[in-house]
Amino acid sequence: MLTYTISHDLKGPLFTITALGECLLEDLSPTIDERSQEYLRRLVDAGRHMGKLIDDLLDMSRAARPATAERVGLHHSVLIVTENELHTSIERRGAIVTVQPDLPDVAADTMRVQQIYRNLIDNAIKFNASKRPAIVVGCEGIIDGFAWLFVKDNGIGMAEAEHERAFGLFERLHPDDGYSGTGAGLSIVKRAVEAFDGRIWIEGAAGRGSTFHFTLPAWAGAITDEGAQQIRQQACEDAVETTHHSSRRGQP
Amino acid sequence: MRRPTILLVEDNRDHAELTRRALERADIEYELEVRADGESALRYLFGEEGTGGEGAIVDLVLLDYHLPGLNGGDVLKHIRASSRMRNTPVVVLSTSARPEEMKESYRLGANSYLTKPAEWAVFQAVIRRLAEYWTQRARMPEEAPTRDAPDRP
Repeated sequence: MLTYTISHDLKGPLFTITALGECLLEDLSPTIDERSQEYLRRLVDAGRHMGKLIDDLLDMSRAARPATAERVGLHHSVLIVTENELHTSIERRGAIVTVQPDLPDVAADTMRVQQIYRNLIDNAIKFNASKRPAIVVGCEGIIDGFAWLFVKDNGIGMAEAEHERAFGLFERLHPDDGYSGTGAGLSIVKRAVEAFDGRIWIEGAAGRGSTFHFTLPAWAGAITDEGAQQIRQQACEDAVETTHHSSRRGQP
Repeated sequence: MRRPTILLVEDNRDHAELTRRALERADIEYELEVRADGESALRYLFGEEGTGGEGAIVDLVLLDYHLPGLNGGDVLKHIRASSRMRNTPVVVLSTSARPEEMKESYRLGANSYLTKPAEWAVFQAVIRRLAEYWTQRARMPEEAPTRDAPDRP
């Protein structure tokens, strides 16, 4: 809660700094030299970056709050993220997002589930040097009451030694090579997953893409053991099927 | 014709200046009144401030949510409790995007809730459009002919 309050208090002066900086740029650009204009632009950019860091702190604070679980349809949540929130970046990169059908319902909260998928899919697009990023969103099955979920990409991947570090706060594994971001996205995801007693881990290697596996409690009563078995089998079949045929985004 | 009056209630003088500057780009003629806290805003709206005890006529209120003393929510409650002002457009401004704060503002009768964005150009454009929309909308009923609409077949 402290982080939350402080973050809000920081946003007021930050708005003053960036907005007055931009006003100065508007007013003075015709009369000051190129170097002074550049300084002003950097000041504004630094302010905006700080704004993103504060937003991330707010997300982090929300993600780690005690959670009240409700029934959340994963398929719907993923579509909200891919069709609305990340639509522009998916289109811009020509990314193909394959969403397996029949993703289960989970006991979590909608905002956090969307945050998890938003950050993981955004990450998969951002850290991706492929001509056409390919991302698969799916479920491996229900085990001991938890849905085993994954987001798999064909991105730049990371060495196994870096997997744990990737979840650190403001941890950037690719600082100087053109990959933008604050480095808080995966840390927020980890906290959101852990707020529902789930786990998250990474599979993959540098240059060979990454698969983010995570677990969330399955919605009780919605899935029987028999149903879970069917989901597991269906998920495997559908993964093959949809990768080749359906649910593709970003096709010309 | 009377120019619409916009009341800006904002305790942060930098934000007040930035809002004033954003309004300058609006395609409307207006009078701007600025008050730095809830109490003085209510005095201005409901009298006791050189208005003969009747209060000012205001066409749009831009109301910062986080004010010292009476906060934006308290001011909004007073406005909506007044028969004279219950339909006056009120836009709540805040640096916060807290869902609770937004819900509370709309529950109390705000017409819009604007989170002050990180980008000046966006803030400027949104303030301009909000001011144009609400001041023009507020004047429409006075100017429109008041006859019953014909029944639809």
